[in-house]
Parts: sequence; C-alpha cells; structure tokens
Amino acid sequence: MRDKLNNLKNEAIAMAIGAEGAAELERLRVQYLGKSGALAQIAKQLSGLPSEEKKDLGQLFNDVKSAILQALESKSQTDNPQLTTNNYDLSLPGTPAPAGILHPITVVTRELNGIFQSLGFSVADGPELENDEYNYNRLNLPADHPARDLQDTLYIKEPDVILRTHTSSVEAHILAETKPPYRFVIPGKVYRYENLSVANNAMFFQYQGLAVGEGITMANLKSTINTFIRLFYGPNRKSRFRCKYYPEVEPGVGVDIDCPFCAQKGCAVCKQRGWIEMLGAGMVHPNMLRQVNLNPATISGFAWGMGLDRIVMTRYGINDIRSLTNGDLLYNI
Amino acid sequence: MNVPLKWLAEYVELPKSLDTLTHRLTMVGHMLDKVAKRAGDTIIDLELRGNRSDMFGLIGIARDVAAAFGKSLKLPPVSKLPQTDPASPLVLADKSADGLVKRYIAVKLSVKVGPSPAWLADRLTAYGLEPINNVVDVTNYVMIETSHPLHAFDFNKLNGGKLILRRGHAGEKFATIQQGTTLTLTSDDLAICDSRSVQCLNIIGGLDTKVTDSTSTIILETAVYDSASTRRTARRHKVYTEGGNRHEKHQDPAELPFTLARAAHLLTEVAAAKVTSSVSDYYPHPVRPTVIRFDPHEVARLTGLSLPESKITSVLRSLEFTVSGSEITVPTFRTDIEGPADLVEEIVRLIGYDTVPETPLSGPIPDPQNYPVYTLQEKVRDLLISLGASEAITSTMTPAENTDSIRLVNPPDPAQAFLRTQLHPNLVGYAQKLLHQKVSRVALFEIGKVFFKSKNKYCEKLHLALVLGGQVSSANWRSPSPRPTDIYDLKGLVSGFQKLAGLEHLSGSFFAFGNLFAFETDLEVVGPLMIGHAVYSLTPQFPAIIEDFNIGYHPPYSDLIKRIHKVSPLVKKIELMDKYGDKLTLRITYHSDSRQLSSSDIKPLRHKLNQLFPD
Repeated sequence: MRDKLNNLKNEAIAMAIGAEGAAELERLRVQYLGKSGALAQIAKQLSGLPSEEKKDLGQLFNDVKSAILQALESKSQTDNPQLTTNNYDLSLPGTPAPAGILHPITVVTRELNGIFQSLGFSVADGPELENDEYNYNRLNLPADHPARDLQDTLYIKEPDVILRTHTSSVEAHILAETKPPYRFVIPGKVYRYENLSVANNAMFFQYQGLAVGEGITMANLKSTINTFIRLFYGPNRKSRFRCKYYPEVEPGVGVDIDCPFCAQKGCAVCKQRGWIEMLGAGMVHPNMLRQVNLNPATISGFAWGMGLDRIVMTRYGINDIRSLTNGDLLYNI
Repeated sequence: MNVPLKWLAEYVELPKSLDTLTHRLTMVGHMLDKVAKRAGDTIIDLELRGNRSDMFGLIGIARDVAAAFGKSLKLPPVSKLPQTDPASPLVLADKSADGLVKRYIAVKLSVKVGPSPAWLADRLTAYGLEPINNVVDVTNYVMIETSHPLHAFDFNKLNGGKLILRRGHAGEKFATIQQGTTLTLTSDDLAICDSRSVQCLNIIGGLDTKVTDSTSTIILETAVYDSASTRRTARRHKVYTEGGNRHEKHQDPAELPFTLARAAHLLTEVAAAKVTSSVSDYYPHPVRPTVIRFDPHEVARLTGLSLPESKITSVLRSLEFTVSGSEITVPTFRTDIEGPADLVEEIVRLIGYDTVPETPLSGPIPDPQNYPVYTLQEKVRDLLISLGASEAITSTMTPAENTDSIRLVNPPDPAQAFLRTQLHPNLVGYAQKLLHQKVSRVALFEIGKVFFKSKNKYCEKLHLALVLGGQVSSANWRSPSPRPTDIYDLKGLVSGFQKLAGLEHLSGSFFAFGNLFAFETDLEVVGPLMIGHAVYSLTPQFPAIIEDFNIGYHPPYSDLIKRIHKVSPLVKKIELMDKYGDKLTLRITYHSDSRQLSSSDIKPLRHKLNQLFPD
C-alpha cells in the first residue's frame, strides 16, 4: 500500500509536468483527485485497515494528496500566467497598503552607522541629562570657558544639572569607561538655548565619532572622514581640511565640502565661500587623555562631530529645522 | 574681526590677490566670513578662534600672515616712556582686587582734544567704529592694532588724582559712557575708581571722567584682567563692547608697555600730547615664557606627516618661537600654546593640512560593541515600521507639569518650560496636527527619553509611545469611506508588536483622546524581555479541527478566554470572529502535536464548553 501511494504520487506529478493545455490538466485532476479517482479508491481501502496501520498510512495519504494538488496547480499557473489577470484592469489604482517609514533623522543616522560600522566603528549611546563634569570639564572646557555661557546651556539646576549641549558628553563617558583601543560613533539628541527660527532649534541632532588607541593619527582621521564623504555624498565631492579651534581637540580640524549648489562659484548657501562647513574634528586633546589616566605620549585618538539636521534638510529639501520635530513634516506614503 | 587691508599692510606685505590671502588665512585657522568695502578700504571679516587673543589685534594677524607667506613683521613706531615709578603714584590696587587684575599700567599726559585727522578717522570707520575725538580715537586705534584695550580718564575730574582697583560694593551705582546707562554693581565686579566712586569697569568706561573737548590732562591706561571675571561681568550687566570682548580672552600682560608707548606716540602726533608723569605699573605676578620639551617625532606620531627637523624648526621660528635643541620657548603673546600637541598644530597648519596623508585605520577591526540600548531602539523601529507605523520625533519640552516634572531654569520658549514625563502627549499633538492637514491615517510611534524627579534625583528613561488616529486606511474606490480607527486597532498594533518582539507580556498604558488613541511603555523594562524570534514555527504535522462557538459576553473577555483554555490543552487558539450585542462568536482551534484529532476527541470538549457557558 505504501509503495502504491508513492508510485501514484510520482506518476501523477510526472503527468502534470508533461500535460499540455487546461483540458488535459482538468482530466488529470479528475483522474487522480476526483470523486471516484485513484486517491478516492485508495481511501476506501484504507478505511478497512487496522487502526495502527491506518494512522501511519493516513499521514502519507495526506502528503501524497497535497503534493499532487500542488503539482497540478503550479503547472496551471506557469502555463497560463495571463489566465488569472486578463479579467482585471490593472491600470485601476491599487488599494492602499499600510506602510510605516522612519524619521528622516533615523534614515540618515542609519546610513552613517552603516558606513562607519564598515570601518570598524560601533554605535554608542549616553544620557541626555548631564552634569558639568561630563558635558564640560572632561572635554577640556574648564569653568569660565566661553563655550559654557549660560545662554548656550539649558540648565535644570545650576550649575551642575543640564541637558547635554553636544554628543561629546558621550565621548567623555566612553573615555572614562572603556579601555582603548576602540572606535565609536554616537548619534544623539542635544539641547541648547537658541532663539527659535527656521535655522535654529533648541533640540537638534549630532553625530560624533571617536577612535582611541596607540598610533592613531590625523592621517587616519582624514582617511576615515574622506571615506565617509565619498560613500555618503558620492565620489565627486571634494573635501578640504583646515585648521580650526575646538577645546576638546589639538590639533583641531575643520572639514568643508565643495558647495554642490554653485560648483564653487559662490552662492548664498556657501556664503560665497565655495565650501560648506561639514564637521569639526581633531586629535583628542592630551588633557582629556590625562584626565582618564591615559598617557598622551603613547595613546592618541581622533574625534569628530557634525550636525545631522542640516544634512537631513539638504537631502530632503526641508527648509525649516523645526519641522523635523513639530508635526509640519508630512510623510508621503 | 574686521580687518581693513590697507591698515593691515602697515605691518606686513600682503599678497597681491585677495583670494590668495583669505584662502591661506582660512587654511591656517582664521576662516574668512565675508568681504566688505568701507572708507576707501577692503575689509575682510575673519572668524577668529577664541583662544588666540593676539589675533584680536592687527599686529597679531600680521604675524600670522608674515609666517604664512614668509614675510617679515613691521612693528609701528612707539614713544619712549619715562621710567616706571615703583611707588605707582597713579594706580593703587586694593587687596580685594587680588587675582582680578593681571597687570595695570598707566601714565599721565597733557593733551589738546579735537577731531582726529582724516587718516585716523577713516581707519576707524573702515574697521567699523565711529570716530569721537582724537584722544578716544587713538585708544581705539591702538586697541585694534595691538588687541589691548586702552582707556583715557579726564584727570581733572578724577577725585584724588589716582585710580583705585577694587571690588565693587553690592548695589553700588556706575554711570557708563553710554548716555543714561547706569549699572548696579556686585562684589564680584572689578571696579576702577577714584577716591569717591566707580569710574570704569573692565568692560566699559564711565560717564563722569570721559574725555571731552575741555579735557587737558588724561590718565592713559591699558590692562590685562582675569578673563573669566571680565566675562562674568559682561554677562551679568549684558554690556558687550569691543574692549570687553578682548578682555574676556586670555591676554598677554607682557605686551602692555608696548601698547602704552604706541598710544603715547600717536597722541603726541595727533593730540600734541606730552607725557607728564612716570609710569605706574601694577604687575603682581610677571609672566614667564612657557618652555615646552618637544620631540620632533610628535609631528609624525600625531599626524602621520613626516617632516625633516629643519623644517619643523624653521616653521616654529617663523612664528617667533625660540628653538634651542628640544626646548621650545613660546612667545608670551601666544597664550594658547600649552604643550607639544599645540606645537604640532602650529607646524602642520602652516605646512598645510592638505599635506597630511590619508591612511586607513590599521590594526585588527575591533569586535562590534554596539550599545545594547541603541540596538534595542533600532529593533523596535524595524518592528513598528513593518506594522505600518511611522516614526516621529517630538519636542522634549512641554507646557505640561506634574509633581515629578523637571523645570528648565532658562527655557528657550517660556511656554514650554518643562521636560516631558511621558512621550504620548506631544505625540498626540503631533498626530492632531497631521489630521488637520487631512492626513487620513495617522499611525505614529516615538522612541525617546522622558525625564522626572525621583527622591530629589533627576532621572531619565527610554520610552516608546504609539498613536493611532484617522481612518483605518485612506478612502479609495474599493472602500470609499473606511471606518475610523478605534482603540482596538491600536490594541492590534500593540499586540502585533508584542508578537514580533517575542514578548510574553507587554506592560504599558492605553490612552484615548477623542478620535486619537495612544499607548506608552517603558522600553527599559520591555527591552530586556524582547527575544524577537518567537514568530517562527514549522507547519503542523497533523491537521487542526476548527469550530465556531457562540457564547454570551460577560466582560472581561480575557477571563472568558482563560476559562476556555482551561477546558483542554487541545484548545490551541481562540479568535473572536464576531461580537453582536452581548453575543460573541469564537473560533476555536483544536490541535495536537502528537496525533490526528477526530470528532470523537472534540465531542466531550464541546459538551464541557456548553456546560460552562450555557446560553
């Protein structure tokens, strides 16, 4: 009986594959699966068997039946693809499929994470409530540094409880808590006291990077940043590295990309410079290494930070930074 | 800083092309902001670095230009001043001013006050300052030249003929040269006084002793103050001046005699001045030049750029550093240079950052160590967009307040002075806005921090909120008026998330706001329970038996389900197919993993159910 079932299956599948035309397929269906077809005959025989055997063969019977059915159906579909659709006007609109999309900040963040993860960076995260120590002191911004003006920082309790003003605070945590070598990127929300406008929001997004270890150089920084620019903006973007001051790095670097809006002829976007400021970077300041008991004579590192909002706004043609968070942004899905 | 180029050219030979000059300045660290034309000169506006106090004077800029273009610096002529009188007859420093004044140097001159000659007035106009009179104009001119602010007091109006440096008295009044502006001092302000009252601050001069047409004798001073205290005074009184801005920087006290002598020279030239006193010089702790031990290999170690030692030495010397073996002596005007890394920057910025090679990070790629809390957020995002919800980010600030709310000391928008303790209120507002924009289906989620006070501590937590509103889909030709969403659609979304996340249980709260429905949960609680792979299983080996069953509805539904499950382990799934009044139609799936079920297996169960739930 077992052999009989298997043979029947193989025979039916072979017939189905070789069949030509809908009429022959229908004939085969009746022959194997019809009311008095081959399988129905076997079913009758099964009912007379002892229960143990019946259970065993019943399973096989079901498998054979569904295999034959499937063979006939798939043959019918491949033979006649238009058969199923020629009654429809496919130029009518489809019914909407519900879709969800990510916030553009997340989209760009993921793209950046992908690029930097391919270069061996991991993604780190940290608190948004900060203290003076991690937001300022450990970043070589001692008390009374101009960058610490009350008007820039959002205070929760003066002077020591604040909302982080930059993702560099996470850099300070990593320095304090992780043993080099390491490579991290830090996407995050930051807060500043700003007069709210199309260009300034009190809450915005930064993307920070940090690599610390022995023998890390500005040449590594250049390679990392240029790889990012090439992969993110395409091979035709040019970059330039110039000297710039940031308290948390020494030497400090400003990185610009050539203005894509005016082919460097000078326009409002690039303030007639031909270059657009892209990010701030540099070699981790020796004071910051010393602070976490790393010897700046042997350990070095680079760091960079950039604003995400403007990258997102340029990419998606958004001209009001507040629309990223206030409900003015429509998702066209 | 505005740099009039004809003026700058007094101190250094400039390249012929403006672009050549501004590009090089940009590359060495002083980015060009814009170019303007005024008073017959071209003015370049440079974005200066906060740590280069010397660059707030044209001579400092000329020094960098000279080093960048291989030219030499030409210092302007100065008068020879009389000797310093150790008795310091013009300046008396009170003990309370200790630490607030680094150096204060003054001399008395007779002057003839009048309008400035055209060349002087034009220069100030080109820079962007209004000419006032020859004496005041010279103080401004020399400040722009040297970066050191100067002030001239009308000597005959000073009570006691002497300047006293002391802390202000709390509540003490001071009338500034800005007509009508009176400041109320604190004991944290440094005050420069005569025997009666305050005559000057480190950020602005005083009305009573300002130089006027009738002035015949002046005390001319220049000083370096504690930069932090100056900055605090400026912020406290909201007085921002050219002088205050420079005094906020870390300035070099060693340059003050030159500054004073330069001003005396110009006053002699334009105001027929004659020095009529010895020099008073309060200088409690004279600065010594910083000496740095420097290994030239540091350049390559930090930048990857290999330079011959001779090149390193010549660059440092062009910037007026003294090189003697491995000892580098920093010129005192470079108050920004502290250690070897600063020297590396000096060398490389002049050689050009473009000469630094590009070398990929080397060594084994570290194992990925993404922070779990970040990975969690990314996973939640993926699950929710797969369920048709879109991500929104709303403001952390909110008008709402409860007993645990944290209030901002200085909210940018006073109407939004608190940090959110929950995500969904702002998200609901956001969704409402979209509904007003005729968005037909709003399904949003937000992942973000909430903030609260707990036992006098400030805390933050990662939350997830979902909001659903509008219609179940946008209207279309197949269903021209789709039904509005309700809380069960949100329940479905939450359950879908729970299933995909592999959560046995998902704690959280539901909220209804008219036609909008919200759910919020603590991701820090939920996150660690997510396993994410509960959604996969093999097709069942034995077919199931499925039956519909009608029962009366006695809430809560969850209790009914529990009771039915208790009837037999063969009850694998219970679906609510219909609810009509207080009648429910349940679809029950019976199934066994080990055998084929027959109707004889189900009969007793059906019987039991009928007994449990009689009509």
